[in-house]
Amino acid sequence: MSAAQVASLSPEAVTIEERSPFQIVMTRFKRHRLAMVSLVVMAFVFLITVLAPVLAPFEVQELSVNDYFVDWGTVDEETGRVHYLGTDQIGRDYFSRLIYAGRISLTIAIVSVIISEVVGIVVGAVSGFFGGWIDSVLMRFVEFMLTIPLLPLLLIISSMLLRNEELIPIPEPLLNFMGNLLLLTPRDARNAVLIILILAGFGWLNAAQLMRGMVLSLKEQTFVEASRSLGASNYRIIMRDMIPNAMAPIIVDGSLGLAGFVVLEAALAFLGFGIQDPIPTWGNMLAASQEFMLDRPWLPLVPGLPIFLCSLAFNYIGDGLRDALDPRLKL
Amino acid sequence: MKDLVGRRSSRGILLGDFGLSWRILRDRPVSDLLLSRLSKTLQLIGLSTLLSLLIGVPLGVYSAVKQYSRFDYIFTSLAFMGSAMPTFFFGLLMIILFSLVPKEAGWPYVPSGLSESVRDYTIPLIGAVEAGSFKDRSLHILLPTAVLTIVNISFYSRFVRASMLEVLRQDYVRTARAKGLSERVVILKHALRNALIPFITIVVFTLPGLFSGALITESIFAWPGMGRLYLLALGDFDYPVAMAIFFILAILTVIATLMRDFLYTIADPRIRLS
Repeated sequence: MSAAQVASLSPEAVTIEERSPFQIVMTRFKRHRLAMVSLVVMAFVFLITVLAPVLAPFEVQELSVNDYFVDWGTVDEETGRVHYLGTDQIGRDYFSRLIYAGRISLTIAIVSVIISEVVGIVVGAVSGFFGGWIDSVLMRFVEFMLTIPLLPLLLIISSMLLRNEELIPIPEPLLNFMGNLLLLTPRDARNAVLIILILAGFGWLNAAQLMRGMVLSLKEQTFVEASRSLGASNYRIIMRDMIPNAMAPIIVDGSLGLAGFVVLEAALAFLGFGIQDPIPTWGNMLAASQEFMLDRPWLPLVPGLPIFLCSLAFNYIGDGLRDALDPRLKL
Repeated sequence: MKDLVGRRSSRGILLGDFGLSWRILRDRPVSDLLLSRLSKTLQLIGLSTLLSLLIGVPLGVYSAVKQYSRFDYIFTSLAFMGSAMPTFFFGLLMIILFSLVPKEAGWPYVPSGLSESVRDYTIPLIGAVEAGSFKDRSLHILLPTAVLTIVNISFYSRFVRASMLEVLRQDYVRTARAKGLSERVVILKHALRNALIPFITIVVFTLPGLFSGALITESIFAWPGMGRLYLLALGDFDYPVAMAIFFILAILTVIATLMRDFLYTIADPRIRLS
């Protein structure tokens, strides 16, 4: 095609339709088939846990009139409700506990991720932007914390905190709010809030390092200089220029963090230092099933598979997001 | 100082005295408790690290060399699943698959739990096993080692694959091929050596982290090692024991960091310690 021919074409023919960054990311994300499947699966799991009070035929703490370990599909004679997955070792409905547990496990993971990413963003941005001794102090602290093996540290801290639950004062409204979210009494919610604090307390380190790295490279870009020459304040530069441009690795870190926190929370509960028994979580249901699996080998699969499924799905979503947002990114 | 006489204090951890246990072995030195558990953990961690390196590195290299092949595709998906699999669930699955179900069906099975059995038993096809014999102990170490090894393989081989892919793209690999060197020499000598430099860092640095993996595995298989002792100590609020183990972990971390730097200079002479 000669230049004259190109010039004669209408503008619609030569320019590509403009698309928002979100649309571009979505098109690229859709190419990752497993990530899309994971997204659908997680949406489904989410829906079930949100609708837990509607879907669950029994209350969490409710003891069945039938015996413990009734078979799956047994119908409760008085009320006609079905034990879809049977009952557990003391006669509580397994299916109802499973979906309430999902609500608690997922909420804890999500809240912990939000807190740790926000803290990480703030610390990383401040550290990278201001540099100097603030940077040294903050980053040495982060590096120091990252060298300690995570699980033993979490275990020792949560064993101490669970022994003296009142050690950290948590405001009453927060407990009430979390209780409503998790469908627990405010007293039980304290246990969940403590676990969130413990998880988030060590989850922000990675995000802080990522954010700092991004801010350091963004500082050299000309649009930051332009912003400054227009008289923008430090606060405005951080909020409007730095953070929106550094979101890609943070989002990926967050979705991988979801997988990590689901597993970590389950591990703590499994080892007996997480959320304690009357409150259902996948981890402590798995721990309880361990005792009875000699006679019922399929029992650990019921709470174990959702943990594996969520971990796998969040990992795939993170993988897909990384490919979509920035293929060169290494995490 | 007089007041301290007779009190439950330690002479100082530099002398290897971690004080007295509060609960688990009441009024006995913590160091006795640690020493009795140490060898079991070292067996488990040593064996599984060795195996996972021996299997994981070749797997990663092969997968990188045959990138986009069917093997590579299957391998990467399996490794991805392996790294997403929680250790505790995987351990329980292994017990069900290789211990409980075969035992029920009358097939040969692998004993799960403890490091040796209390009384003699017979396994179909393998025959009578004397409690505490070498055969008994090797049967018991099989499952926990397998779990730790597989978890580590998925981590190590993914890393080796990624760093191999990076190196294979380099100009010096192309030069080596252009010189007419055999593919074997190119991959093993020119590419692998360079790919292993970052890998050394990861391996040495995860050594203290292995304890975390061992902690869960030991708890599932009732393996009488340090990880289980740590959980027991925390559950019983026996803080001298817990603190001693945590302290040893901290020292291991420092040693690992130092070792990493030294190994770095050996692997890559351009890097100097300053």
